[in-house]
Amino acid sequence: MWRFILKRLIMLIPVLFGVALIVYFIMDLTPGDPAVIIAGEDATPEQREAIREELGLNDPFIVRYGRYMFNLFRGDMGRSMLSKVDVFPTYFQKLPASLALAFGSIIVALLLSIPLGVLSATHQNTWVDTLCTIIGMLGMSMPNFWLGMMLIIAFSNKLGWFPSGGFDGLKSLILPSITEGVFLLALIMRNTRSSMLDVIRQDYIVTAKAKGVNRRGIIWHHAFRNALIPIITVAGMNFAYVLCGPVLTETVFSWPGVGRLVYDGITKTDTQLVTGCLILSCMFVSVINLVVDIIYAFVDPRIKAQYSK
Amino acid sequence: MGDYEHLLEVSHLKKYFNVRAGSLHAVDDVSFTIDKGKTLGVVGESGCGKSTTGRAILRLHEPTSGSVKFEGREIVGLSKREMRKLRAEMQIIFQDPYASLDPRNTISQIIAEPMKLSGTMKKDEIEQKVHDLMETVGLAERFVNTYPHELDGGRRQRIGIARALALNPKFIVCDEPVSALDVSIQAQILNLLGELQDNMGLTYMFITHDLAVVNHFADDIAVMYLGQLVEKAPSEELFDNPLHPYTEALLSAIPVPDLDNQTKRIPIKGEITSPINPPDTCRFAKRCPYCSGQCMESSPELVELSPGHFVACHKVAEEHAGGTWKVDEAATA
Repeated sequence: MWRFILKRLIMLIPVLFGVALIVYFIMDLTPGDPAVIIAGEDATPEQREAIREELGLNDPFIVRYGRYMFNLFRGDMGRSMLSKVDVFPTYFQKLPASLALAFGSIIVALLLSIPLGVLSATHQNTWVDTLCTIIGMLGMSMPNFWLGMMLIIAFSNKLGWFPSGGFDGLKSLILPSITEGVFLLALIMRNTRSSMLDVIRQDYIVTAKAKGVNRRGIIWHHAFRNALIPIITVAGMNFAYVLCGPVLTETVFSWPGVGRLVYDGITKTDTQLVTGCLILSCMFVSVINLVVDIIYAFVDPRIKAQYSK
Repeated sequence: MGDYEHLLEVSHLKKYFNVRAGSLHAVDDVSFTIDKGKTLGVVGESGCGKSTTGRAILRLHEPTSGSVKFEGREIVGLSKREMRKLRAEMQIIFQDPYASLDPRNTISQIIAEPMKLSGTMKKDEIEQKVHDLMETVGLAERFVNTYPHELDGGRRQRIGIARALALNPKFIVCDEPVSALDVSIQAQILNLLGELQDNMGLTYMFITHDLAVVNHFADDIAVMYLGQLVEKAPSEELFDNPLHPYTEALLSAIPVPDLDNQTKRIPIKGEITSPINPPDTCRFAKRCPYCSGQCMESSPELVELSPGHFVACHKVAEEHAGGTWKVDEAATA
């Protein structure tokens, strides 16, 4: 098990190398000249040229990439081209808000999606199932910026229960978590349902029934525990997504998260900032995937056995 | 538990499934009895309803109608709670030892679960019993904390048996317990089941598609075809004197290890009648070499032609009554 974790951590290094290359290459291809943005529309060509020279933008791609990677290995992700602040601390300054939103929305999603998913599987093709399906469709198809705005209008403007934006304590977390969580809720609920339906048809469920296990024991002890793997997969993937990029929700709630930081960087062609943030985000996604894989081992003894090989 | 003639008495058991195309008659009016300590072998091709019959008897599938009496007590209609209690006495061993064990539980958890549920045993008693059961079915003690996926098919099936035995049942449905296993392992498991029957006075309903297996194992054999019982007789009688055309064809298909003394194979041709909304004819008629007009008009009743030998066939009944039978091939057209 420990060897498995160590192996996966070592494998992270080439993955991040690849990520850095791709991200750097794509950012290089994006149109827009940082020099124009930095110097402003009115700057003379000489001023722009001076900025390009200063930032090293005139060097060939391979030289710039080499320089970037060299600095990266020294722990230096460079500075934002616009704000002149180091990328690394900028990212970690935004991370707590993103983490809070990721945890908030996944908790909202899991609390509701699992009971509803199990319920709709055990009541397949009844009105309960139909109702859950409708909830699921609504949750998946509702644009979350719209939902966010509606929530702000109702609970913030009219009722005044929660703040309409910003990251300031638990209270401010509730509306964005619901906004982001509703989609996840729908997704995880559908996954829970189909996974449960799969498991319920297995022979060992009949075995449990033959043993005289009651309905609750069959559903939760025998079926649900075996239906967990796909649920964990979807939950983990989406946790990573909320951590890195729910730009719309962050914008609606003026949420000081990573998503908006990267988005602003992209619109302003801040290559340094975007590249650094994306590499860090990829690292977090990889770590979350590893955590999910480790959770698998605790959920399923067969997977644990594979890891030990 | 009062007086009763047979340990298990099944009468007019029906199990229909509603499917898109209509009503699938998986088990259609099946009646038989099994006496204490005996084994009834149930044979038939895939999809003939033999497994469904076994599961309907244990109410793992809720029967559509009919009656199942266990020790004289009607069990169709018992509440779920009463049924759960009765599960201690009536157990099942499944065909696929790979799919029928919860992959998340250890061997000891699997075997102990019924005992824990019964609530009558203390923790150390349960531990002792798990140990004893593992010994009974020939599982080494070192496997106690392993998971099913770590064991081979034969050992897994031993777990399935130990689990079924956990609460000292009187009756066990063996649903093709060896068909998923290697031939060498099959013999071991069959021997184990035989020993357990002798030592514990168990009664089996032994479902299989392998006639060679039941021949050794069963006291009586019931042959099923498309949800119905077509013939039932003591093993020897059935093998020596098969009456139903389907049974004849089945027996002729058993390979004989003697080149000079080969049986003539009777091939079964023709279209299988659909079990969905089946017509009220003999269900074997379309594939039967002896089919005649009568067979397409009504479904034959199961009648006892000699003591213990039941058969459901118009031709056999006619000949038994002294009449002659004319084959009319045009009848099925």
